[in-house]
Amino acid sequence: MLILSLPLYSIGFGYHVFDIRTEPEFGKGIFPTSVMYQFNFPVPDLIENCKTEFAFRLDNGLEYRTLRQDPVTGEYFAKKPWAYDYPHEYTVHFDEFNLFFAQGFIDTEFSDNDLLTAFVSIDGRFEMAFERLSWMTDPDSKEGVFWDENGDYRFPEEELLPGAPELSDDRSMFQTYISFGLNVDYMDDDVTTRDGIKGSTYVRLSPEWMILTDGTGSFVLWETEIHGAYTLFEKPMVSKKDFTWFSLVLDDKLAYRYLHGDRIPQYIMGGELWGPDVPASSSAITNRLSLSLYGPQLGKDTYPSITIFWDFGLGLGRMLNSSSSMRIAETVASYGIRAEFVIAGIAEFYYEIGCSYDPVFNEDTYVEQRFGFSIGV
Amino acid sequence: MKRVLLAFVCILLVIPVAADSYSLDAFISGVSNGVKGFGLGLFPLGTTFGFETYPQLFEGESKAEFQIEISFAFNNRTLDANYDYMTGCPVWAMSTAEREKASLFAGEEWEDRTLSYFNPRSDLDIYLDQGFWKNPLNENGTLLNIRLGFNLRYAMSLEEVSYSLPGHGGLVSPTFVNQDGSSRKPFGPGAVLPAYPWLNGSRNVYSDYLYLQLSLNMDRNTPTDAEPEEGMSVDLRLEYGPWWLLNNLTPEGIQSNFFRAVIYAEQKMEIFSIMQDNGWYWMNMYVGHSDNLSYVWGDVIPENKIPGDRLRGTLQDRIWLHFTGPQFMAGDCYTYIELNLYNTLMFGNVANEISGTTSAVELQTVFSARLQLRLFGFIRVEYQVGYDIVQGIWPDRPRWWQNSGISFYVSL
Repeated sequence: MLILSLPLYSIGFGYHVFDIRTEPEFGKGIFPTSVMYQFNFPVPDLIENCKTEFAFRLDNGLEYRTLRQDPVTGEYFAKKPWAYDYPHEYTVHFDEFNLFFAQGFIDTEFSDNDLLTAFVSIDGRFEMAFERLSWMTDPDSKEGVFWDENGDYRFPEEELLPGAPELSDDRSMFQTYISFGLNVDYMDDDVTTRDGIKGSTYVRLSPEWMILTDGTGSFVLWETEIHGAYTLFEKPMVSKKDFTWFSLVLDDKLAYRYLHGDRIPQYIMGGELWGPDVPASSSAITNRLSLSLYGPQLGKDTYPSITIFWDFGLGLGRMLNSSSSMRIAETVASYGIRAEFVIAGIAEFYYEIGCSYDPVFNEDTYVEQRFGFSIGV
Repeated sequence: MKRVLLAFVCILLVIPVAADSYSLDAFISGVSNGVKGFGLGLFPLGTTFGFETYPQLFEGESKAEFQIEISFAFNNRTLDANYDYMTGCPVWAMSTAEREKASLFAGEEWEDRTLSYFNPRSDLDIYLDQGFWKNPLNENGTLLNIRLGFNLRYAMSLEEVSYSLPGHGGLVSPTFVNQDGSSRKPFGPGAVLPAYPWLNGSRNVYSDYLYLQLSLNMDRNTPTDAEPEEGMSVDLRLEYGPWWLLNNLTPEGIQSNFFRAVIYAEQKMEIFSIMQDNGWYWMNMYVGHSDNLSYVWGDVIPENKIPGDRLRGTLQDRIWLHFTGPQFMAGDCYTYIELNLYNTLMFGNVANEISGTTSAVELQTVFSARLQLRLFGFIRVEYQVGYDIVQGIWPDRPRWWQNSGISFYVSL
């Protein structure tokens, strides 16, 4: 109704592409499999110099996921590896929409965002899970997560799967929820230099009584994130304004995620970490400490960089989606190096090598490396 | 694969040299419709988006346009049982006896299989477009545009997703494999299906082509789609996807080896328009006419360049009457009705036939009426009804058809 009441001659939608993701099994990771983007409705700023946003955000595509818990009992596969000796990766087609309203307060001259931004949104998410893309393409890949090699279904078909509620029945879900939160932005971010602090805190409510939801989800999420950055060293170019020869930036990103509910879908669990997944527990703390060397800057958005990172994750409290009321305190960690070359802000070549310490899901530390090309924003 | 990367990188590295600024603007040009079986058909299955920038290449001329458009979609497709997969010979050119011996995706051994399969795919399209001279009917437009582009496609052909859902038959009747996962004839490693090169071997396809487009544009400026169109334009488009242009990278052999030419000309004329006080239209009408001639040469035509009914040549004439109703609430909320008459002549040899001997001529006449409601530039509610008359190779009767749908689309 808000749209209809505004005196608009011709609505010119603004839009952003936020995130483009790829999967290695689809076109060697060169072609995208999912993208998040946003349409902005043209609304006037309600407070002078402070941004008012009314927008529709869509995130859709296909992604790979790893099943970590037994869908029937909720037990970790890693605790009984001999009993779950089959592939754990599967594909999910998802669509998420958010209709949100955000209002900024207090303009800062160094950032696109205002110092404080409050937002509220109405959201929905559809998902359908199926076997990985390489399933059944040759005799060695006939075993899937859901089907065994004899063509029998592994899990009960007709009942709710407590360990993975969104995989119950026909493995599709539609959940709706309400989110609200507050962002703080006091960071001067200029691609190769960053100084300041920003953070966010938000709540996502997805109770069973929400309209349109199919009841596969019932949870409350509270997440808080703080990101601090400090430029240790910078050598600006004399000939080109705002360009740097070299810069060294120290970042730290700390996030706390609390989840409560009896049916918690995969997509909302865990936290961002290189390598291991954070164990599914009611509280999850993740931290990334990193040191990045940028430069020389060939264009505003064309530059090489090298990042050394140390990631840490802690799963605390009650195990989620589990019939046992076990409380856990498990840590996972990784450290590594990422070298990348970004071209025009959208294409990047990267090489990363990291060592993961993953006692929950794996017994020994292991080293992984990735080399790739991706299109990203 | 490395060569694909290399080509892409070379093109990307050229941008910073040409562009004023290194950054590209993002755009979203379409969100594909849903398909039944995926979330009730309501949720999008793919997206087209891209990045563009406007570098000044020539002093005194208008700015060029550099664009990268990327799309992906996850749809189901159906195996076409109308062509012998080994020889490419069409069913309509076979006698009854020949048909029994032919290698078709039909008959007894196919009865337990569905012909439907999952076809996730993605396209990358990169072009540089430079305009010259002023368009006499549009101050902001150019008269002649030259566009040089590169298009790359990746596609997989896999078992239909619904097979992996419980209660949908499971592994009873996969299309490409046996129940134990081994390849089923004629698919599998090393398989070559000349009529369907995209189903060779592992059924992963990389194919690409270069294109050159010359456009002569004398259309009136229409800032929104609700305005009556007037003017004329002519396009010549040449597409070249030879085997040596990264089209033989995979073990599946040559995925593309073709040359295609298209000439398109259209004329439009306003009949009347009635304005509202605020500059919007109560209603307006224009009439249009266009001709499109295309022909495709080559021995391996990729899936996205297969012409209708596989006849290499197409000549299409279209006459249409476009009536736009009142604009309301916002400039891009309006309805329109469009009456179309298409006459299409398809002719020439059958594409992807090894012997290259079968040829035919076919005439299709289609009358259609389309009613569309557009809201805020991105919601489209559509109803279409049409009448087809097909004369030529298929024993079809004239028939009525209709469809309706709602789609989310961005046109700017």
